[in-house]
Amino acid sequence: MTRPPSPSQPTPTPTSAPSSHLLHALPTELLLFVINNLTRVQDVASLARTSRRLYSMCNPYLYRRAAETNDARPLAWAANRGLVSTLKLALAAGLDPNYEFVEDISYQEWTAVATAAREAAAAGREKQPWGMWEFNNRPEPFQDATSSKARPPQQTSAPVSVPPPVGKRRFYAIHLAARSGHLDVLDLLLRHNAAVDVRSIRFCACTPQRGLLNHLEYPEDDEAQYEEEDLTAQATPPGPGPAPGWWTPLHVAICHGQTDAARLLLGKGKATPLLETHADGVVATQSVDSPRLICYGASALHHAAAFGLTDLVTHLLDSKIITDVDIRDNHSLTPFYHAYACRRWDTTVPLLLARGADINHAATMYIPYTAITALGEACRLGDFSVADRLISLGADVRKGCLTYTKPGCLTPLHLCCMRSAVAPPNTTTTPNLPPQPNNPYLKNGEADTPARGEARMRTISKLIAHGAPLDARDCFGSTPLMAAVQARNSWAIEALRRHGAGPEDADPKDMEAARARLGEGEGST
Amino acid sequence: MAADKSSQRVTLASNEGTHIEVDRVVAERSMLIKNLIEDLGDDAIESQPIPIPNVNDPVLRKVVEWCEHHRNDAQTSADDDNDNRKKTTDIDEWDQKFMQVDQEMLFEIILAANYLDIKALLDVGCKTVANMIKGKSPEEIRKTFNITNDFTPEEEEQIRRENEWAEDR
Repeated sequence: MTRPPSPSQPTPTPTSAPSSHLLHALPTELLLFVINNLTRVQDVASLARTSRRLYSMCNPYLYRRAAETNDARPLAWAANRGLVSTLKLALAAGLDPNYEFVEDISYQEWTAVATAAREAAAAGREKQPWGMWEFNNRPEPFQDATSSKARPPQQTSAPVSVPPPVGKRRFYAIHLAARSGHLDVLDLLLRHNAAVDVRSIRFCACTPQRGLLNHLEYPEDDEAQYEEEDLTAQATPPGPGPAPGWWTPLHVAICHGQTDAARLLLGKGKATPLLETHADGVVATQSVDSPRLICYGASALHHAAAFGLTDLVTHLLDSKIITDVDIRDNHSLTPFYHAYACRRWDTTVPLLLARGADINHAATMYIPYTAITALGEACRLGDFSVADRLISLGADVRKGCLTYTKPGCLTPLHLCCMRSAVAPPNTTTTPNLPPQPNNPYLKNGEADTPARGEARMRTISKLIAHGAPLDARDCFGSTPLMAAVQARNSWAIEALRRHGAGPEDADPKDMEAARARLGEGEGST
Repeated sequence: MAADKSSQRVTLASNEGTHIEVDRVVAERSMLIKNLIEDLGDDAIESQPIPIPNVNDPVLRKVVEWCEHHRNDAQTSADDDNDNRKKTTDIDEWDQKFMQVDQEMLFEIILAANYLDIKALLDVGCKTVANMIKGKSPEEIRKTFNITNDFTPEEEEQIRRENEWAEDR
């Protein structure tokens, strides 16, 4: 495409000869007076589009004015759309590539998108685009309660609607360019000293990965983590909803599947001495002011694994940016864990295993001195199809939840026999189970749905078929059957019984209880 | 001995040779004329008209009309000139009516105000033109001011994309 004329280019003569009374024929200094009297940038931009001469005068003024009034829209626009020419004009006019954009966002919206993103990740679905900062397609800015637009109709008897509480969304132009994978813009920003380790908040819907079970059973820790970060970050309070992450451009590139942008950022990170802490690909950086890790200490490999970016995982490992395939983040999670937690069964899960990742790594739990394997976690969560996959991939059926203080552990079989951490939808019918005339536990909906109950039984069978011992003892000395009885888990009891679990695997009292659970007569064996 | 400055009259000669007699204080709204009088001396202006070679009779009369109306306004300083560039298109009511002329006259007044160095009139003229541009599309601006579009369609599209941010709310 032909470049628009630069101001230094000679002005072509319009086809019709100008007379002195035309706007176009005014001397330059008078035209500049006119332009200077245009109060709205839209009008300056419109005038710039009328002719070459007016473009040559209006355009530099347009960007100079943006720089003088700290109006960084050109930067955001260029970074979001990949407009190198706009970015060049903005930077030439003096706009700061490290300008921080701050927008209002309701906590209601944040809660919705962050929750949806977390659920999508756990279900292996692609993350939906959010807040793409498109022209005329952004959420309506929150109106202050005192503004006329926000006022309810003038009916004194009507209840006054309370505006939703509003938080801040913060980001930089480099986040926009990284998100959309605009490499030319990204490169130009980096060449103009755009900081590569700046943090965004509520820019992407991702929230830090602390482990599925940890997040489910101890969500308060998310807030605690945020508040700890907040002390040094001088940020706004987290507010309601999932605690947002402080994501760098590298994370944003990765979570939007922009492998080349991630490579570029990693390359620049290596080249810049200030960012030497990036040299191992770690997203988390140590700032000059705060030597503590920020951004939750997850590396580019963790994030690439989570988002199924096989090319980037290969690049990080092959180029030795990260040498340890089982590098742990500051929640002790490995890249494999992130891949498993995001259900990347066809991409990074097999790739990482092929590169030697430890499928049996036990991640630290919120309970002190305990850790859990991916298989153990899947069993505990009641994600039996996931557990089945992990067994098929070679997960150790003897390793589940470990304690560092006592011998023995909850095997995956134990964890399958306990109540699941995630409750199933309520149900009152249990067609495939033996008759259970007096079983209030099942009737009040606390048990598995039939589908999950059957899945549980299949997983138990699979565990046993792969060598899970029926007589394994946890640190309290309980067997899987005892765990099933204590949890009043009829599906598990039935599965264990089918595989031969008997009196020798449980205390006599537990066996009595087990028979009762299954509705067997006193004399049955 | 020259007459009292406040009652002194001067004659301005347009480029068409017509003469317009005005109070000296009115003429001195023009910094060009004021400096000229100071350079030539009071006696010189009493005896001969001041030539205004770049301004024709109708325009000169309009300019004089403006100067008459604003004869008691404070003269703007160099600092005020900068302030005048502040972002407002407010024009007082009398000036708005004064500027309700055809485009040819409007631009002639602007050129004359510039030539005669009458900052306030120049400002009013430029604000009037700015108000004529306000809210118009490029095509509407071209039509309003008879501007020839000398961009190729590709160039025009690129510029539109380049500056689209300015349309953002």
